[in-house]
Amino acid sequence: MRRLARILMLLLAAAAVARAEDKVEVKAEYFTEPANKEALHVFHPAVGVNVDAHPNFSLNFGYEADVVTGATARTYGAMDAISSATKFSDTRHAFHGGAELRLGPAAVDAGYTYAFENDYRSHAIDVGAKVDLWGKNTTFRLGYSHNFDSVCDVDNKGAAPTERRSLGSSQGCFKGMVGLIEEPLAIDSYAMSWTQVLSPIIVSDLSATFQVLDGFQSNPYRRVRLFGTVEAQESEPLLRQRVAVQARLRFAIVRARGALGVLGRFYYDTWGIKAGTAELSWEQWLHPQLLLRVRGRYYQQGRALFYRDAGETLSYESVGPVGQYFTGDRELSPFRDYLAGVKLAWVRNADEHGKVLRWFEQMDLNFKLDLIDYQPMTPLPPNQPRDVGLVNALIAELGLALRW
Amino acid sequence: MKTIVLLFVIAGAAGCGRYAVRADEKEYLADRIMQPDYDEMELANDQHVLSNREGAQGGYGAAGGGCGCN
Repeated sequence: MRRLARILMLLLAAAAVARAEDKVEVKAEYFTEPANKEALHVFHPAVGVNVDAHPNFSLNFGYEADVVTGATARTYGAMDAISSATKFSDTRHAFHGGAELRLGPAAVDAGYTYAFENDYRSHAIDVGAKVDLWGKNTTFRLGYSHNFDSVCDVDNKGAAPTERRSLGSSQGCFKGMVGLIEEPLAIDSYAMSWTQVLSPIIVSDLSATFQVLDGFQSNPYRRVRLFGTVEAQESEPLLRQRVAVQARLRFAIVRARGALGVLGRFYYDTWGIKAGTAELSWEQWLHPQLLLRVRGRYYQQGRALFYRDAGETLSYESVGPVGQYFTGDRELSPFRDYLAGVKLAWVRNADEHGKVLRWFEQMDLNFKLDLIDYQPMTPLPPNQPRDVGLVNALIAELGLALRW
Repeated sequence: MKTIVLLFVIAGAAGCGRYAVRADEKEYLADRIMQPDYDEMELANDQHVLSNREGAQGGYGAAGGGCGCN
């Protein structure tokens, strides 16, 4: 017992030299798919605060929102894929609180997130542990999170998949309205990462995640046309297991005051989707206070086992569902996309003239712009009107971070 | 992909278990441009946007991995 107490004392003493940073960060992001018929706009403000309550204990809080407006076809079928968009809007709010305890080379953290919108509720807990080894040349981290989510839906209990009705609107959701129910969705996520310094100018990391989603995963509003005339609520399997492995390398190019980043990711899930991602980035100090980043990203995925395209001979309209499943979700169709982006950051550090704005050790003002070109690999996927032209989506983000 | 992961593991293992790089050699590693997760909020926003457009998600590991710097 005495030995255990001594070890604990040593760990706490070592922890006193480790210190996180006090930081407040604000970002405002705008995402759009500017199609004529099915435009989508998402405004995403976020704020995060991290404070040291003690030399080896810090707290963090965050808030973010998604303000979504747009139009989408409610029914997926050959005719509806290119006509009849319905307008929609919703706002999602998410609040997060967490804490981190540092014990020498190790740290543990835990957090809780509550998110809600008109038709969705989510409670999530997360825990993690990290250890730095061998002179901080190696870092291992493990993480786990569990979501207790609920989705608003029409009470379709007892109905066959092809008879299920879709949700008309979110009015009455989570208010006990007769005819509406709350479908549960549990999500378990396991994650690990290994960061390794390979040389004074090369650092790498290898990460993997495994996720199990158990519950209602369909879009409650979306309908799919079957056998020519039947329209039924989208029907997706209740269980989905996903695995993703990602490797990254970063090389410092000292003479150029820049760094080259390389990323590769492989993804597989039990719905049959296989996907690959490759990314190249270059970060360059243009000036001691001005940082430029350019990047290019390529992503490609195959189709889900139960996805049938409305433009193909074997569509849901002509031959019906795959077993009991049918979907109008573009994310389950085969496609590739390209992303090209640029980011500029103006970074001002405290110096011999004093702190930044009298209070801060560092101020970081940044802006980024990403353009995305989406290329379907089937004739008539869901939301096809959003895929016209060279730029199908745009992400613009303005951020400010203050550290003290 | 398997080959890339295997090469990665071998390269990583080669640096493991010893002081591959001393603290006084980490000048460049400490620069933010060598830390892919430096802007965690931007990373989270990216994942949020892309996972709502693409079928794949995850692989980012557990957030807050190290940078190897001091």
